[in-house]
Amino acid sequence: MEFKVTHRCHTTRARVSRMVLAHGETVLPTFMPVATQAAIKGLTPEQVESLGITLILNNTYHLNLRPGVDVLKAAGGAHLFEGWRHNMLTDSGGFQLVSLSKFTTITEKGALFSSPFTGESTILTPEESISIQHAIGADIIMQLDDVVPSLLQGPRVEEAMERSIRWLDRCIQQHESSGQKHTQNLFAIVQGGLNPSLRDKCLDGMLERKDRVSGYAIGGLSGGEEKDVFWRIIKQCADKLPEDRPRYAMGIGFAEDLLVCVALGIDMADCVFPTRTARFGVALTHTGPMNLKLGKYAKDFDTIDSMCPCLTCRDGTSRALLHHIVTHETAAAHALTIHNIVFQAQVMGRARDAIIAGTFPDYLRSFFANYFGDRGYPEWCVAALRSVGVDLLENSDIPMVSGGGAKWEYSDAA
Amino acid sequence: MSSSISFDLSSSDPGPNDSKFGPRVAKLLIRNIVIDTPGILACTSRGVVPHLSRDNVTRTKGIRWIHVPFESFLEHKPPVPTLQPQQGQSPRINSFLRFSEDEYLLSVSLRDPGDGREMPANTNTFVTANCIRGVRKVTPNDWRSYMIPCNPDIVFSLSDLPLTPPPYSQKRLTKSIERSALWLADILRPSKSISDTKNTRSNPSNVFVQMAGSASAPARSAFADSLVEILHGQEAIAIQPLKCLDEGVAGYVFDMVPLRLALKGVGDVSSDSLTFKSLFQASLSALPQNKPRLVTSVRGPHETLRLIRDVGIDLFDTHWAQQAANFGVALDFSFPAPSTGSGKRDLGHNLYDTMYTRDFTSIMGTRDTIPPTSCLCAACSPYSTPSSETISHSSVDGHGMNSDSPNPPYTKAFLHHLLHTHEMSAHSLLAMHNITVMDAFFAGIRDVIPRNGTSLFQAEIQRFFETYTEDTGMNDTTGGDEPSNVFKAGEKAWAEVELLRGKGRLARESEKEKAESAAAANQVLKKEMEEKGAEGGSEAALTVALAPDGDIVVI
Repeated sequence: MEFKVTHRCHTTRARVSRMVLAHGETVLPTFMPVATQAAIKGLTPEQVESLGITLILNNTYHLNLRPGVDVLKAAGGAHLFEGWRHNMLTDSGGFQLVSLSKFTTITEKGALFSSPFTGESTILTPEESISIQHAIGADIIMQLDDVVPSLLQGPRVEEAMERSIRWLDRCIQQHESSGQKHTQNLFAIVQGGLNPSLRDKCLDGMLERKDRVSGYAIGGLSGGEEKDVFWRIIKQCADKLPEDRPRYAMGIGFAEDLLVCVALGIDMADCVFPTRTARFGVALTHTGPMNLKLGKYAKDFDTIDSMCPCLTCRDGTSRALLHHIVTHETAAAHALTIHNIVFQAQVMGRARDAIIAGTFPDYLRSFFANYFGDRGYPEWCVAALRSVGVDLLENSDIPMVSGGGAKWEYSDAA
Repeated sequence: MSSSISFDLSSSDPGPNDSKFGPRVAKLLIRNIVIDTPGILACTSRGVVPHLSRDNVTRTKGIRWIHVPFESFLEHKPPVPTLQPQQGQSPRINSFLRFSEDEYLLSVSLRDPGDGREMPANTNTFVTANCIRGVRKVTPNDWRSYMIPCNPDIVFSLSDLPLTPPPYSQKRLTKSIERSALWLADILRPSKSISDTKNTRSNPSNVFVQMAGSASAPARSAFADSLVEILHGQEAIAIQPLKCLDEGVAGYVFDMVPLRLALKGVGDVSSDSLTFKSLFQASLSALPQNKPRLVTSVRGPHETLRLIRDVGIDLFDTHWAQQAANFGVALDFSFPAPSTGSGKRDLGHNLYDTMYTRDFTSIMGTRDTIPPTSCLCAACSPYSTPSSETISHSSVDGHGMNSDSPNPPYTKAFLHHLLHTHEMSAHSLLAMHNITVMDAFFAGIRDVIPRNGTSLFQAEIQRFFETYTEDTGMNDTTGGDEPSNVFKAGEKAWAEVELLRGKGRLARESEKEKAESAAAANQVLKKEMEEKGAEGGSEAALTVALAPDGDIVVI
């Protein structure tokens, strides 16, 4: 991997960098849409490409179940199998073991779980996870980590953190002995729950292995924790992670979270939220999510966002037409998926331009004012951005409100 | 701005067997849009081509004529498309649905011609139609008031095609004919109201009529007669300056779904080609030849070819091909049929079939041949978005972005995977492919018909029938010539995946696998018992159940 920081924000920790992988260049910070089962739901790879996306995520757990490693190997890897010619990242499968399998037992050897198909006990070891990811062939692969629920407390959190470091060593070992080291890049995942001292310990351990990993992810967040805790953990990790490695916040997808993370020094993020919410009829906009199922859009002949460069908006598809088809026609899911992917990419692209132009703090202020102007800035956003020298409340008459602040348009019908 | 249709049959070379019903080639022109016939129109659901985002509609060149059943819009009154702000000269329905009037011809009917579900009976004053909030009554006046502002290129007049359980009495057929003619007269009636000054036209310019008369040849010809009959008195005044209804009709529509239903009622479950031939000819004998003839919900290429050959049908919707895409079937046929062939072939591939798990060939490619891929759909010939058209999100994007060489074709293995993982992209790719195959099929037909005074066409039809097994498709209770195979299997597999999806899917799949292995084990045991001639081996004694640990036990 070639990784070079090209621009830095003079105020915040935000930065622009170039990451060159085996399938081309991706400029960071960026948001990665998720193609769980080898496709961004509803779109063809060519469509995704046309949206200006150069890095997507595939899920190892799902690809391992279907089509399976043998088929992927026969196809020559996931890129060829699914027709995606840009960069790809795979997770390790650890997260799904926790979120999808009721009967996972973690042992030092690996994660013991019952196969959802055969019911047989199967073990996913760090070595196995890496070799599956080698078969998939993603440009960035993730270590297998010991994932515990974000809100869990007590000794299990520390155990999981310690084990994640030990498993990192086994992943590195497997990766380096495979001969794939020059085409695929292994990322470590910082764990430690919501406990700053555990996070610190994990960071220390993983930084010792810096020369053998290509980048760092921050895991174990986005699981329902307080937003005020969330940003502090991100900041703690981002501050300590090395300058010359990309930093990836896992499972982050709300626009406000993304921009806070970027300001704190994060380069990459992924989340199913923008594509999933599209399928439920919600379009993301610079003034907040727009729930197109609501009756108020039935006779609204405007596009979602007249400034948006996505195919759906550029084509002039009205909110009224979308209202008529959302949740009934897959084509509505496609139209909104296209829009939401472009929205996320625009939020991040404008961040890159602003960082380069030296106007990132202004971009933050104008984005947050647009987005939260009607109801006030969430307290945690104000605090997080203050920590990197941007005060949203300065010269602003928008109030500050407590709570997580995630915006949503609730149903107006019974 | 009304744009009249012109239908030019002059390119059709009248052969020696020139008849009213022989195969014919023509050009249908509206504005700058040319539809070559025999040709296709794409079906929509709720105003969109199922599974296709707008860019994928654009990408599918076979889509030029789009048919829109209007009934889904009845959930609001007035229907929302009628409220669409006028954009230039564009018909409101085109503006609302975003089908540019420069690219697409739109036809609109009240009902979905492919929907054969039982409906409450129509009356003298209204037609019943379906929308998501239930059944709606639509009067001829409503229909006019919706279609005038929407201003589609082609409007189907309201027809009374029964969708109540057959058989239909003589009295019912008479009513059907009378109402259909009356409602046709209504939409042809020039409007007298003052509100017309707001519109550039007072009634829809191109009206197609759905041919009434059900499964009765005399009833069908009676309906045709009522179209060409010179009207007198009040009736004549109402449609002035037209002298008869047919003068205001731009095309004739034959709907297979209500017709098949009616045929069931008269005990003709074979629905063979002769039946359709005589019924359609009964409708057309009295009518002028120079108007397009359109068939909805045809069942596959065999039936299509027969209708072109026997009745001179010009236009077909792609309902069958789009339905196939819904059920994971990728069409793979061409006209004329390829010359190399051993044994009969299927019309397509049920890509749910596990035989495709590792088939890395393109849809129409085989293992033996380097993909000859002449199919131009986005699945077989993926396009490459030029870097200039790729959305750029920042000034530093786009270094070394797209290589401008296109991707290789999508493989059967990938589509198989997408189907089994319930990924919507599978149906997008298949819909584009299947419509494109239909488009190429019709291009082949148009190429062959004019040659050699249609005798070549006859011969090629014969060869096509010998090459491909007829597969009439889904929900085939009235029977085709042969039982459906690929399509039925596709539909079954689709239903299974559909049933399993959602939360807890993996667990349900494992249940299903267990059940299947139990059923298989049951078969083996049964066979063994039979071979051994076990006494008292009743079915009950052979039931196999699963022990909690998953082992198979006999109880």
